[in-house]
Amino acid sequence: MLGAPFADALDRIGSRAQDLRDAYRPGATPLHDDVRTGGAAAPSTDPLSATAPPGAWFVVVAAGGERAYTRDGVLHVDDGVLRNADGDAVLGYPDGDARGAVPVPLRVPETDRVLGRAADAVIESDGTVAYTRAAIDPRTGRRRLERVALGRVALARFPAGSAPERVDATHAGAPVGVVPHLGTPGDGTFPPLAPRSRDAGAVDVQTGLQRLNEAYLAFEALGAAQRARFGVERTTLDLVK
Amino acid sequence: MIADATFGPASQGVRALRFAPRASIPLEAACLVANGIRETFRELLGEQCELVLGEPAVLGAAAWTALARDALLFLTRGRQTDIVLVLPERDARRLVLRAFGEGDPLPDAACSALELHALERIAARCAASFEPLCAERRGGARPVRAHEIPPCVAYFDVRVVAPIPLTLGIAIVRDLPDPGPSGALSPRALDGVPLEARAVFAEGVLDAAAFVRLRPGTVVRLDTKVGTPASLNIAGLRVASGAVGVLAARTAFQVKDVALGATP
Repeated sequence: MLGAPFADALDRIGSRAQDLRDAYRPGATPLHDDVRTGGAAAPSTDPLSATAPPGAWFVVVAAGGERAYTRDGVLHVDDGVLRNADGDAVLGYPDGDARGAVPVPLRVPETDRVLGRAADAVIESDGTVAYTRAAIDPRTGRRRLERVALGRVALARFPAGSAPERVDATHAGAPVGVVPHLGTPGDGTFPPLAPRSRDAGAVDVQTGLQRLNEAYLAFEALGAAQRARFGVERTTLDLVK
Repeated sequence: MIADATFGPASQGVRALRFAPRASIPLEAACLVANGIRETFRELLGEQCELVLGEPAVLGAAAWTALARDALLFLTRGRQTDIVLVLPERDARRLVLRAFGEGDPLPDAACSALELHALERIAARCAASFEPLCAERRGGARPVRAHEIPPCVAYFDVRVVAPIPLTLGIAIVRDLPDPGPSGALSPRALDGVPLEARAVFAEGVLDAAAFVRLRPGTVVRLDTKVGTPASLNIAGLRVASGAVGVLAARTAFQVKDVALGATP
């Protein structure tokens, strides 16, 4: 049976490995602060992908139904609902204005959802998510493209001195008693989004590998010490016999 | 099955090409229906009505179920197809209140019996503009529930922009007959195509031994009798018969008869 030091050492290996596994998830934050970087925006060809400004978080409804905050801005429309890479519904303002409004999941109108019309949705620097659909003038039969906006995505910022609490690699929660400030990109309280990019995450892979290696070395050292102790005990028993 | 080429979502960088079935509703007929609805609304609301229509689309059973959910349906039977007017409940209430000269509806409020009766009359007036689709109407519009009719196969939405924003849908129960190609290429478009012609005035059979003995001055006796009409061949097919001769400094072929169906 392994002792507590071995279990701790294995946990350390597991958590260091987890940080590395999360390194390529958009907007991921590590378990350990010593492998945390400032984060960077990586270019993307995805028109529904954007990076939130530094210190700002997208607001989502996580799998459990609770509100959460994420830096993951790799979005897609699934069954008419705007979601991020984890499948969380992304909250925003259908009317485009955060003042006096409660953010809700942004949805494609039902008819357009059923007819699959939102395939070319894009996110713009002011957080507007929009797509185009054909509009035909019945008097002339002429087609034109009509822009339909789902709304503007919501952004959250936590008051100075109160960091969001990490839930998992891509989700954070508000600390107890702290209400984040909500708004929209480019509304005067938040800078605009960086469209066609994704948050590359805040995990320093190089440092993470180094720390994982150190964790393995520590485990090896514990094993060596244990083997040495077993050797001494056996020798002692042999002498007693 | 006629299909339209379309492209998938752009999230993966390359938008995959796919073919989607094309709705059997001709755009011209959809425009006529929409114009009729505009006139009906103009008379009903006493104001100019601005609207556009969406691209007609093929519907699957699941899509039809989703569109019919939370909507009032009015069926108009026709010779060519039956038409279902789809009026989302929220828009229906907004329309009837506007017709009554009242303000915006309360959220989630259902239509009263009086309002439903008024909506039936509005639907009946809209049905007059369905002629281009159903060819010959059989009776007026009547309210139905989704389970009382077969799933509709094609649909387009009429989006009213003014005086009140609302969307109503026009669905057809049976596909319309294929009208065929919308335009045919005129035969005159082929006038400039060059055709290689070959005139054959005599034919015969030569055995291999005679073939290898061929020399300048050899006379080959052919099977064709003197006076037999020559043939004019194009692409290996005999298209005319006539006589070969000379015209100015060139050989020529005088057509005596034209083959109605070209023969090999």
